[in-house]
Amino acid sequence: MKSVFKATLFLVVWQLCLILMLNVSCEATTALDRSGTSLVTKQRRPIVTGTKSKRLAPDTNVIHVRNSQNAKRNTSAVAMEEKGPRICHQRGGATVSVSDTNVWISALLHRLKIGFYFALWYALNVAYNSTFPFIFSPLICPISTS
Amino acid sequence: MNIIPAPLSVATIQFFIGALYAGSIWILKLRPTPKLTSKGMNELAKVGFYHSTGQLATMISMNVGPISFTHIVKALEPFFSAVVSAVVFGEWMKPQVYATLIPVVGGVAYACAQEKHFSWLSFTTAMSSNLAFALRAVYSKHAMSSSNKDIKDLSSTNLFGVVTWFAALVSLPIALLLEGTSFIPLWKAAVETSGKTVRQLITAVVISGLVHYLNNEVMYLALSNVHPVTLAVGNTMKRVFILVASVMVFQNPISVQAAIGSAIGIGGVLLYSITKDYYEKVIKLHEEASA
Repeated sequence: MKSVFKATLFLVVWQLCLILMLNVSCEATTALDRSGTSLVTKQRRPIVTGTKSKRLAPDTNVIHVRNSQNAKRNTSAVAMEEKGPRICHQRGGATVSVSDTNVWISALLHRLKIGFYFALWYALNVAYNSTFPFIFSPLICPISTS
Repeated sequence: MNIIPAPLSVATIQFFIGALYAGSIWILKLRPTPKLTSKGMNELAKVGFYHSTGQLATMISMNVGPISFTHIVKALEPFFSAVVSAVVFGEWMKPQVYATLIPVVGGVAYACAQEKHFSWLSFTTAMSSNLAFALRAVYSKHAMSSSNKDIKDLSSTNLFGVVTWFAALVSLPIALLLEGTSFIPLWKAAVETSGKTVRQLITAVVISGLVHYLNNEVMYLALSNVHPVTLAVGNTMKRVFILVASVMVFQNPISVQAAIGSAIGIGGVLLYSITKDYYEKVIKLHEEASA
């Protein structure tokens, strides 16, 4: 029981380390990510728009909802538009500006999800090695060694 | 497999168990059945081939040489992923990012380097599996992309299900050709010598096949969210994870060499992450500035 608790605790700590260490930044826009699989678009992550100088220092700490008659009646929340220096995207015909806090929470949730995937992957790998006697070794099979 | 020394047959059986699991999920409509164009099928067949050859090569490598040696060679996977993704997509990362892979690979290889025995067959098969798995990751990532019109609306888990079917079909003739006649005598010998009943052996193989499938399915979920090189780094660090877990949870003794290698590997991952993140931000700012 103590070992199970320790194992769980270790898994949680390792997951947190992974979240911090592995590169799962919401800003990750490598060529492969840009090909559409990244959550950059799927998670409705807003983009910073506006002039060059403002882009580097976006207007933050503001939650601003603007009814836009000219805005397209596009219900797709993924649709983004470049309007002003604020972080904004379009939802149901309204342009929504979100604060850095929302972006930060969204990025954190994304990181947690990936951290969970990695932790589960590692745990299943240990389970696989445990069910597969050939692969037993002191290095990769702590359970049998113990 | 030390009970049944037929790596290809065991791997093929595992593939089929995974494929049947995926098939049953589709039949029960727990997941939407994938619909692919013929071009999409060809693309996934290629991924299935890489998946199958990678797995079979790993099995052979572990069967013919020391397991720790296979782990050393397998630690090179991030390099393969980096090269393959660059060659296939023509997009290179900054040299500084590639440089950070050196401590990751070196550290893990050093931590695993317990045996000095060298086997050419084990080395070549482990290298082949590195190449096959790198190709699998890169082409899978491409298949997951929404820009790919031939494989649309296919989730990462469904994608892996299709890939497993192809892998099973590819590995079947190979296993039959190389181990077909010897498998049944080996199975009978295993039942006699291992002290296990036929039912116990079948259960062990089925469970290992299922866990193998689930393990890779979760890996695909991770791959759908990260770059293939990041996944390869995560795969390399998996070896250190198990080593550190064995020390922390089970108080297993660890050699100084393994501790140093693990520390270097973990530090390398941190360095890789920071460097990659930094250069991606720099590139993004440059792109926005030039837009």
